[in-house]
Amino acid sequence: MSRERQQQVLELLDEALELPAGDRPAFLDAACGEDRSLRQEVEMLLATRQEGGFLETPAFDVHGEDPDVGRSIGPYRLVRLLGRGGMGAVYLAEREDFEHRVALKLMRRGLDLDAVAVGRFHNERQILARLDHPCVARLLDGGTTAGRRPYLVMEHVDGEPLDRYCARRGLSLRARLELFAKVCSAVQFAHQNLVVHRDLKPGNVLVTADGQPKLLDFGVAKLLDEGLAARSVATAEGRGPMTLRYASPEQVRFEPVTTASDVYSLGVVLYELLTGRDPYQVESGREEELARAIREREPPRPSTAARQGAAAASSAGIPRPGELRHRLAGDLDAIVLRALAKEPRDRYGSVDQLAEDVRRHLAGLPVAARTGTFVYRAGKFVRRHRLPLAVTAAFLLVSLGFGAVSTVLWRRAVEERRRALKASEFLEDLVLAADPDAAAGADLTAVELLRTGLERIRTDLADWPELRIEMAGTLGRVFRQLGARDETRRSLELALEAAREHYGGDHPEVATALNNAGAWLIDSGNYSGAESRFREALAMQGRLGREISERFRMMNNLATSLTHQGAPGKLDEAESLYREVLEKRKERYGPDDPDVASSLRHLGMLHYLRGDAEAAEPFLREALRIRRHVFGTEDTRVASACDLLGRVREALGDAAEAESLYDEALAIRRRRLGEDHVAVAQTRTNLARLLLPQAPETARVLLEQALATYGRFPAAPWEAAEAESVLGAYLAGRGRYAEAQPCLIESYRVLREARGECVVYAADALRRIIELDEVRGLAEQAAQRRRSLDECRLRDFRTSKGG
Amino acid sequence: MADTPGKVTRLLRAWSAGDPEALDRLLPLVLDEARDLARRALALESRDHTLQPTALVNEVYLRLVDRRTFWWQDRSQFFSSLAELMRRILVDHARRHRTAKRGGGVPRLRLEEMDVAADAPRPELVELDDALVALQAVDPLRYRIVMLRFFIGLTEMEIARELGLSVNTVGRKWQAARRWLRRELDRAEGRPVTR
Repeated sequence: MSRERQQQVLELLDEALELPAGDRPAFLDAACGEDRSLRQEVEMLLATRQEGGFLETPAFDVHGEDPDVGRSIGPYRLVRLLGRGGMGAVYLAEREDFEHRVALKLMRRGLDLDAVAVGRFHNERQILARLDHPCVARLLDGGTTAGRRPYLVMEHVDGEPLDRYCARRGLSLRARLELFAKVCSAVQFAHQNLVVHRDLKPGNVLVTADGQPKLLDFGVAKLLDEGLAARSVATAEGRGPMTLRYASPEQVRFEPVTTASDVYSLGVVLYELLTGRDPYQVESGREEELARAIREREPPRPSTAARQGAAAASSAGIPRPGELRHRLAGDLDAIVLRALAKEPRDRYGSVDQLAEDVRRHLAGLPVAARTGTFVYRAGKFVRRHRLPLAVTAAFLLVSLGFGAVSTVLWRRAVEERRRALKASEFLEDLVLAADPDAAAGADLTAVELLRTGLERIRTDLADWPELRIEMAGTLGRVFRQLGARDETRRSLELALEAAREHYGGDHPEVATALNNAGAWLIDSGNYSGAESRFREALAMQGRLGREISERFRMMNNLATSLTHQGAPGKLDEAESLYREVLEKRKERYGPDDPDVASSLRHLGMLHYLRGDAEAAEPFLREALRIRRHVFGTEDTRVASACDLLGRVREALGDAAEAESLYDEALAIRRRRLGEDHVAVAQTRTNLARLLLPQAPETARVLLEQALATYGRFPAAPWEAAEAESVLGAYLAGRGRYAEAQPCLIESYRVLREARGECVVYAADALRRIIELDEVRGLAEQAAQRRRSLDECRLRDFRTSKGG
Repeated sequence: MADTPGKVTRLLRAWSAGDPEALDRLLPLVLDEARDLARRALALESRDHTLQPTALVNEVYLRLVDRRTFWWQDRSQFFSSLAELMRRILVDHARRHRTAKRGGGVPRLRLEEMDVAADAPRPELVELDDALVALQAVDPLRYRIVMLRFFIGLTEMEIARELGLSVNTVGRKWQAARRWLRRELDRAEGRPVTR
């Protein structure tokens, strides 16, 4: 590239850097015009932004310290400089009287202590000197120089900082996590000895050549901070003893520091080890901004960070950065974010718990950071047992599961309840293998096997109410996932009934049971019943002050039950609930979060139902974009977003895009769920409606397949009604009016009753009837129906002309 | 360190004569002296104050940069010269150490804090040196900013004062230059250029 060209690139880069990231594309459009390579060059340079501290630390610093190499301090002689930090410099030192190498940390000039501080410094030092753990670098000695500069003498560790060690060896995620767990055990040891580190960071964790981590500077930050507090010198140059990047919100707010602060700092360390990026992505040097981010901003999930910063991951030596986000999504996201919670009480209660979760993740066990999520356990089980389960195997496992439960129950008289709960978890793991996203076509006949399980819960567990509630709830969720509606209802009713009976008033288990019961009522088309369940659950949850994400789920569920009822007032309430959840989720989880995508999809659905496809479209596009990013291309959640966006494009008259979206949804759903699944039938119905004008016979085949599926899985009746309505239109198109008429009328009635008169489904069906009326010359009847259609005032109503 | 000048001269001679060990010992002394000089220079408020370098820096400067004048017309020129001097010394040192055992050397000479954790062959001063030559050809002003910022450790405000620019301009040009250099290093290492 020519010199002029390079100058041009740099100048554009100057200007682009001045702009907020969002404005840069427009600026580059204007500045580069048709010159694609110029633009590419600038974009590439802009994209290197994340490389935090490159060149930031001067090679030689006029503001730095005088070297003290060669000096003697106490019995030690400084051999060479090992490094410098905000508080001073660390030297390799030797004892003069015998051959012994140590690390000596000498505070910089200006941090000299007064007599009182010196005394406190000595006392603290004594405590630290007693920390004796293989992974903690011992504090050996310390004192003050003649000029009252404090110094500390520590075990000299010949190792590399944690991050560099991982990077240089290209350690796998597993190896990183194992190393991290060792670091945790050292921190936990110190905590048990009432010592908080307060400055945990990769630079304070050296890894020796044989892979042992050694923690440096335990308690030193506190020691110095207290020693210096009286004189507030520490902050004189804006540098406290802590390293801001790893500091917890309470440290940034200068609030009391506890072991929870170390949990937070370990969270940052883990975040970086797993993604190669720090959580807040503030440009280096902007300390105020970083401090604010630490106090206020929710960090993006590690999986999100991994997606945005593949370069950072590869420069951190993480193998296969392309797959990283998939491997972080789920457990590791949850673990890291739990550690990084803003409020100490929301974090892990101890470093041990953090380490335990990391170990559980490594062992393929459910982690505490996300227990309770149901789909999650299913996925976990399947990953632990990669092969799909054959019928017999499933049978054996299920019986074994119940066997284990019984044994544990029997022993429960002498053992703690925890064991029994474990057993139920175990069972849940076993049967949840049928989660479609996790198991890709797992065996669905497990339903029959589980039915006996339900009976056994009824009969065998009468004397163990808590376990009974839990098992019934678990089975209900499993049945629901398997599409066994009657069994779902029975299980969840049993769970709710047992929970109310056992707990009486407000209790989280009752709220959960209510929520689950509401979910199956939605499935079975009883939306007002679902609404009242969700309202009760939400109110109870509010009184209990339970976890906020649970609350979002309940709000969403309530909104869904309202949406399905279709009346304008219900839709408006649903919209405000969805919007509230969307805003809060965006705030909490960032714009690219899967839960945000769910909220977007809900809002898109709502607008679509109102007949406002134009308003629906942007929500759905965004939802689809996020889901593709987060879940990849082969996921039922992506399919459901495609399916709905297809409907919207169809309503807007873009048959071509609608078709390709339906194709994508259908392909994914068939592969994931099998041929005979309600969701597959839905997409087939959509595709049939779209293809009807050009390819009526293809449409007919699709509808027959869909109706056959609906027949086998008695779905909410309106789903089948939609297919029947389209079938009516097909019959009408073939001139078979006598068959078409009852088919159209009946399906319209069902849709109107199930989903409300003024939502797209019923309106669509009504329009088909009008078309038939017109073809048959029943103008007056058609006009009358059209008036009632117009009364609905569906916005932008332009659905399927032929269907 | 009363004996510094004589010692430095001796070490410089040894280094020129090909004794690589001499540089290790020379470095702290030179850095010390240079830092002291630079500090004093920074303390002077008047821009056009003529600064007389000590014999030490003359000597080093003459040997390394091969210039005849001992006098700097202004502080800004002094800093530029000092930065060049630092670069020569530090790069030479890094070259010598690049095959030496990792981690045992002088940490400040590495481009520390490079990133969260830069893997693979981390760019060393030697590669940076080549990239700087390229930058100098493309954009001499930006090159000076990098030299003052990285090789002397002046703050952006100080650089702005030295070069008669606004702090914002310096900050922006520095940020752009960092990216540009980073990319040059990536190219030199044959790594896929980051995106």
